Amino acid sequence: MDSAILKSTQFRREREPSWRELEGLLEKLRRGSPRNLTPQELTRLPTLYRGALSSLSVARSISLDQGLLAYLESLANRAYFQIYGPRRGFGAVAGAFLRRGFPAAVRALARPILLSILLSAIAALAGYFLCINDAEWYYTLMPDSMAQGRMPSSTTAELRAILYETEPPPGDLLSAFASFLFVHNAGIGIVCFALGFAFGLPTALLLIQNGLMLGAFLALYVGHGLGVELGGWLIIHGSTELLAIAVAGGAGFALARALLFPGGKARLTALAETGRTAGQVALGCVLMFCVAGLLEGFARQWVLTLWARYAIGGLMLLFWALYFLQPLPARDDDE
Amino acid sequence: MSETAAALPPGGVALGRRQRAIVTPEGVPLVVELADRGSRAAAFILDLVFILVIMIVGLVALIFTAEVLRVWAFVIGILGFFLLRIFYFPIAELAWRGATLGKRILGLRVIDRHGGPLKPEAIVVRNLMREVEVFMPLTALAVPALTGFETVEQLLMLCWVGLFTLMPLFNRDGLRVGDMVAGTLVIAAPKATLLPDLTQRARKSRVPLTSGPAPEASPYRFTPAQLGHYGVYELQTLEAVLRRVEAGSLSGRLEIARRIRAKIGWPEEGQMTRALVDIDATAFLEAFYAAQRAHLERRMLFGHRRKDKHDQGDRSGFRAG
Repeated sequence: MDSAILKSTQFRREREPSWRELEGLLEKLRRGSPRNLTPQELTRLPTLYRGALSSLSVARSISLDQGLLAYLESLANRAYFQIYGPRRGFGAVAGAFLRRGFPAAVRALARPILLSILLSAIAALAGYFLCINDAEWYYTLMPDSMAQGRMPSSTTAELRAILYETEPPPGDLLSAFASFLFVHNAGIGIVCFALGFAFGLPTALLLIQNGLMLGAFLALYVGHGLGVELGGWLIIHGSTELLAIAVAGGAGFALARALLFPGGKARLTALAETGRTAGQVALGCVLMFCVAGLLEGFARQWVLTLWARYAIGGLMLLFWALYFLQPLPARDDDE
Repeated sequence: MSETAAALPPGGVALGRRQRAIVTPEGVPLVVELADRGSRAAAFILDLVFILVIMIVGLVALIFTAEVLRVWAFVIGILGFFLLRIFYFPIAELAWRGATLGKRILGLRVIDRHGGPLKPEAIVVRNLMREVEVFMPLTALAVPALTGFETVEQLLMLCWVGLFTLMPLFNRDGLRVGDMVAGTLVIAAPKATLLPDLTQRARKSRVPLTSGPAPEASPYRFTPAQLGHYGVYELQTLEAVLRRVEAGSLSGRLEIARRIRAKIGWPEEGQMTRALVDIDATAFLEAFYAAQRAHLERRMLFGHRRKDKHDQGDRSGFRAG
């Protein structure tokens, strides 16, 4: 009885050449890019992959050869990575992200983002009314590092001077941009998003703190009769920066929502689905912080006219509104 | 986690503790091996080293090429580190199909947890989460002065963010927070070679002494009853023994051959075509392996997969047939 060739052995004999071919192609791919393959080889790849998958299925039901099964398992695995790995390079991905991914993701998360904007606005109002009635609150709400000498006890002239500070050496401008305006703010934005994983509570706290400080700051300047001027100073970059913070917070809330109320899905599944969208929003926010940092670091120092500041800030807001609400191109990839 | 574990490959093959099944878009379950946490940490440290090297080389190059830029070295350093740590990982994982340089070196790979295509957005998300998993705790450690907490608060803060960092230790799949949010899984990249078929070796090794193909030339033959003692588990253990070639395996084989012969009652009358002075343990085991595999595979075609020697389910049925 052991004389007959086993079915599994015969099966292996028939299919082995195609496995070897696939193995060769995979090795080529591993060493370089898909461009190393000839067009014929590229068209063979999916066929060979499916062949390997079917071999694996067959082998599982007819063969007990552990060595063969392990080999096929690994071959199918490696081919699977090549076929279903990310297909496009960074450039193409970035382009698609800017054209479609970011605005689409923001729109998909419109409700948590609106919640985040609302929360920030309420906190700002609370901060404003607390401070406008009792200047002592300012010291509570505003940490010294943020106040930078701007106190209720400062004179109007001092406060005004900060709004029109100008002409620091360019190296300082860039270093301010790099260290604080962009890197720090973008870091806060990412953290705001990522802490949504802790059920959104830290995100909410960050947003509320941010809103309270904004309100306190407004109250301080309005109290000195400098409200309109502060508005120009703030809006030139704030229309982008505050929006970015709120949007990042919204992405965090989306994570929290998926974790707390996964609906019919498993919690991890719901999280993964929302996470991909929310992560795109957070990445987009990094870009928004970069724009805001440039506006704050450079444009604000160069543009001192009040109406021009309002114009730039307003235009930026209009730009973001149009960008997020534009009719979107259809997904151009095949995934 | 649990949903991947539930998707078993057909044939009832049980998954190992470090193995998970994903289902490809073609509907075929693939078994993947989870990456162990140590190599993941090592890969990450390697990547950090690469980032630092890129930074240092870049800065030195800048300083030596452009005199003017020297003043801005600090600025470019801060900006560069931020951009690198945000973009290095996703760019590398996009370029090398789910593996950064460190992961390539340690043979790791990122895949979609459910077997679908690994999407760019998943790559972006899993790497953005690193900010809270690694860089925030680092900040909480390194610059407590900047965060302005009291010592106890700093400690609490550290514990809290440490929870994110240590997340891979608290779940069976070793998922870090980024993997959970992106729906990805990090696995050990497989690289098996196709080993020779042992039944073929068995055929070759019993080269007939007379000319011509003569299956009767095999000195070892077995009856169905003798092959009815063992199951798949024992067969594959035997396969592993036969594939092992290190020193001292011969005495082990002798012992195994002796035990098998005792168990199955071999040889019976007329099972030795030639008078053998001594039984060659390896040849005997290879012949037994081939016969046993043929037997079990034939049973499998009829839908009976005998797990191991304790699996009595269909043994009697076979005897009747």
